[in-house]
Amino acid sequence: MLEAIPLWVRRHLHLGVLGLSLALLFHTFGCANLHYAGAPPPSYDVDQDLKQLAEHFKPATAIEAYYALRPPTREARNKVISARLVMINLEYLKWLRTVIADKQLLDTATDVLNLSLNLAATVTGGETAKTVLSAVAAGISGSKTSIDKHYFYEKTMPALVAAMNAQRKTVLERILGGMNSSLEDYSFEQGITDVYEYYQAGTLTGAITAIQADAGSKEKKADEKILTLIRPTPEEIAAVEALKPVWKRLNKQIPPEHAETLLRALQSLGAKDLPTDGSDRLTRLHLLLQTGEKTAVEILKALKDANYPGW
Amino acid sequence: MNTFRFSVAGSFSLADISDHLSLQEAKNTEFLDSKVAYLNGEVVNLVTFNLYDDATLPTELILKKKSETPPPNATQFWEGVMAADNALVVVAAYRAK
Repeated sequence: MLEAIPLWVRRHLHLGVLGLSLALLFHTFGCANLHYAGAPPPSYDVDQDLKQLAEHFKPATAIEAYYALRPPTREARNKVISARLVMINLEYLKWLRTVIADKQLLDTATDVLNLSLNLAATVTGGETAKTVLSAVAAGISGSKTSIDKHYFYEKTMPALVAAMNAQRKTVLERILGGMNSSLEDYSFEQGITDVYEYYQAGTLTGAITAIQADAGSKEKKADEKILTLIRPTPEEIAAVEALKPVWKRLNKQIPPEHAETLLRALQSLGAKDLPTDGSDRLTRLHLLLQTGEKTAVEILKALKDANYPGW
Repeated sequence: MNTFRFSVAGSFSLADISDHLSLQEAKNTEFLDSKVAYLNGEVVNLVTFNLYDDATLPTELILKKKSETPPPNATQFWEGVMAADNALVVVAAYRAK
């Protein structure tokens, strides 16, 4: 798919990958050079490159330039997308180099060797991922001063860089596939959306999300039903309040007439395997509300329709 | 203890999330903790509640960013990461005394 992109674009696309490689090589082989993440100093000035390329590519990244074309073309779409990718990759490389350089100031060469071990463990383990997230959150918010910078970098940066690497690769493959497609199959708007996602994948937030994707899926038990809390309506809020007196009868003797209405209410709500005991029926109704299987509005209506005493 | 979990979208503001949780607590449940997770294509808060089997109502729940001043006359009982406004924030949960 790479053939779809001009050589100059491919060269610059690879700069981001090069940056990641520098970082990972550093983790693996220790620090031969503390300022450049275990690699020789780059033979180019990233800041200068960025400035020059920004001047060169900025016009090509403009969305209005694409829409000014009549009719829009696949080549024009690819020009905007590829120019944006270049800019993102250069910024990413610049940022990554800074992060890694900062880390050098904190660690010894032995620490760095341990970091590579942490990297391997973190990207594969759900439990570790959760630890990582906690550390990241604390680091970002600055609220937990007890977690110092050394801990933050040691525990998080390898995992984050690995997550960014994986996420960026996934999105980039999608973009490259799209650039090979016609405008009908891969619209300009979809391309711009994907480029934004590519940018996000290279951010700390994107990396945290990627790590949590793994942790989250492990978090959910296979047979667990997780309902989503939706924005409550005023009617729902009022119904929750109106039902409160009903629940005061929980775990108490239920008169037969109440038990009969509770049965009808449960039946109308579609509940299965209904209890014979009145108290158990009320507990079942309560549980339907607590677990969100039925809304308060639905339960209130069912009780009213069943002529529950008091309504 | 009988617990149950809900997901709350990470796109909601912290104030909205707080309202959601408070309404859920009005159904005789008690907020215990929350974890950020990625489920069904979106970042959510997986929130765990204790389900009371009677009409018990916990005291008022207050969620605030950890970096903000704690509310008066309230005790912090939980602290963790939540997704709110599509970003991760460290949140503290308080209960009115």
